[in-house]
Amino acid sequence: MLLIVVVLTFLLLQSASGDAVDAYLLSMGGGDAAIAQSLRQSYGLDQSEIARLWLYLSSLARLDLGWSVAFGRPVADLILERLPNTLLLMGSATALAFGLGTSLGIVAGARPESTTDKVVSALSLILYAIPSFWLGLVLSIVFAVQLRWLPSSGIETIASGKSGFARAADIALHLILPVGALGVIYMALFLRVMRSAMAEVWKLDFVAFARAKGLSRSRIVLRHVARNALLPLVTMLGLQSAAMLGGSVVIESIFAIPGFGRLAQEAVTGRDTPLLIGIILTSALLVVLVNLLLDLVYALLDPRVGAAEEGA
Amino acid sequence: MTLLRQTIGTGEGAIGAAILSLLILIAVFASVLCPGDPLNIAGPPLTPPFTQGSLPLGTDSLGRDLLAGVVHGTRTSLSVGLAAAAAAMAFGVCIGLAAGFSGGIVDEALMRLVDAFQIVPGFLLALAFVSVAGSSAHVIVIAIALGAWAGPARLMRAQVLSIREREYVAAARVIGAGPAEIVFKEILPNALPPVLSLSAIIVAAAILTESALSFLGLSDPNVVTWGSMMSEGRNVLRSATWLSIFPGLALLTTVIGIYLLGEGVTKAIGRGRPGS
Repeated sequence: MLLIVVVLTFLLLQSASGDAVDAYLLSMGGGDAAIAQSLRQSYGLDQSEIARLWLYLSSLARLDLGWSVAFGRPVADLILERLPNTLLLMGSATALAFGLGTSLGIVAGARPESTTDKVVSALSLILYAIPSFWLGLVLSIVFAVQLRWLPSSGIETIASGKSGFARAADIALHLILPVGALGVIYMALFLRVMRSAMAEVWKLDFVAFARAKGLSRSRIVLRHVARNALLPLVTMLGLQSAAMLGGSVVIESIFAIPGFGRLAQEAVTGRDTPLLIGIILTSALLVVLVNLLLDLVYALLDPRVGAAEEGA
Repeated sequence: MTLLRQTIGTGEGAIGAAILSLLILIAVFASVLCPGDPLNIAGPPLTPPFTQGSLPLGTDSLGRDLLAGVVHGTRTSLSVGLAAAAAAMAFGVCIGLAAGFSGGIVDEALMRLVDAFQIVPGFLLALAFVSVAGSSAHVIVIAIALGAWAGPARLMRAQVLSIREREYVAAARVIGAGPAEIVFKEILPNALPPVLSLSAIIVAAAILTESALSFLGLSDPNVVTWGSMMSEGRNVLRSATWLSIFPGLALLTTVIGIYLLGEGVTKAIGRGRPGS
């Protein structure tokens, strides 16, 4: 499946008019055709598309992602260097979204159609509709420009010489705004899914049974309804991981975080095909890994999944 | 028609329909409301909003009328969003229909293709495609549709798989209906409604993607978009916050309108069904 992704993106990006050499020469203020030709030859850009595709795939088999023309460095190095920042951003945003989203969802879903439910639902609809990059701008206007409480760009203070705990605190401070901007939309989404899943679970027989047993309301809500409503949320998390990775491109651009998404944007401006293919491949790999991990979590939450597979 | 009336009967549907009708009117009559090219200079640069009667929302750093930009941006956002969503739905439905009805190796191949498109972040794909093919309006529509067709395709296939085993399809086959007739007369009309219910989310996502792309500078430079307005406003964020606030509010209103209408339709369909 990842192979399909590689071949498709390769063919898509090869259909480009103008390649990295054009962009490179343009950035140097132009050059003559002979230089362009020799550069193309050294990067293998003068060969036919099929030959290049084969060349790319065979080097990929050796885990070699190629050479970035715009940066003058191996693609794999660049990606590995930028990936941790993005994973940190996405991980924190997911944690925020999942934690707050499920708790608020439980609050709203505990008493369907109550006033609390209606207020929380309306609020979540508005939050869900906010474009993340606009929220990022507004947050940085309020907290970084007006109040000056939080830094508006970067992942840490440059050349601060901090290490250990002080550096971690510094990074955390820099991450508050971007994580907020990225996480709020998903928080609203998880809230809505959790609420509607709980509304479905309330109708099931075992809830009526738990009630008939005389269990307290909070115990029914937490142990019976919420626990079962978590299942669709885990599926949702996997589906959203691709969208979140896409969203981090814009957020990283706003907050000037040197991450994976910014790398994608730089690859786009530099017409850097090997880098762009490498990025798309890595992100696809990441999404597959996240979903694999969530399948394991799913089996833990719902014993029926594992049992069914053993039976088959 | 009854569905429309039922939709407006729900609170969400009424508000959503009102917001969207207003926006569509603004988009259609943009040239009447704010005549002339919105990219023309209309007054002194960085005029704050609500200070001059002729420039109610002020001007940007080049002295262009912000209100005209927002009004004309409505046209871009809605047309690109709707076109991309329509393209994604049409393509997704065709692929899903083909996969579900053919089965076997065609199904297998098409579904692997769907998988491949679902694991690549749609926004990255759109970014790559626009950077390769240039940033004209139809390229942007295709780029957004590329990342959005896989969902409808998957749902369509699931629908077709469940419907093709129903008795009325078997009955049609018995009375000698050809495969084309079965697909278009029996399966398609019955499989479509749940897939169409995705359209609110897809249109909203398409509008958001379009503005995010133009925010990153990947849009037709001769057309005003909310995203490019916000991105220009970002350069003067400290002195002229309103430049990024107003286009963002317009975008927010649009997306809320679409979601509300979508919820209204879902509720109306739910009420229409007996027993729920």
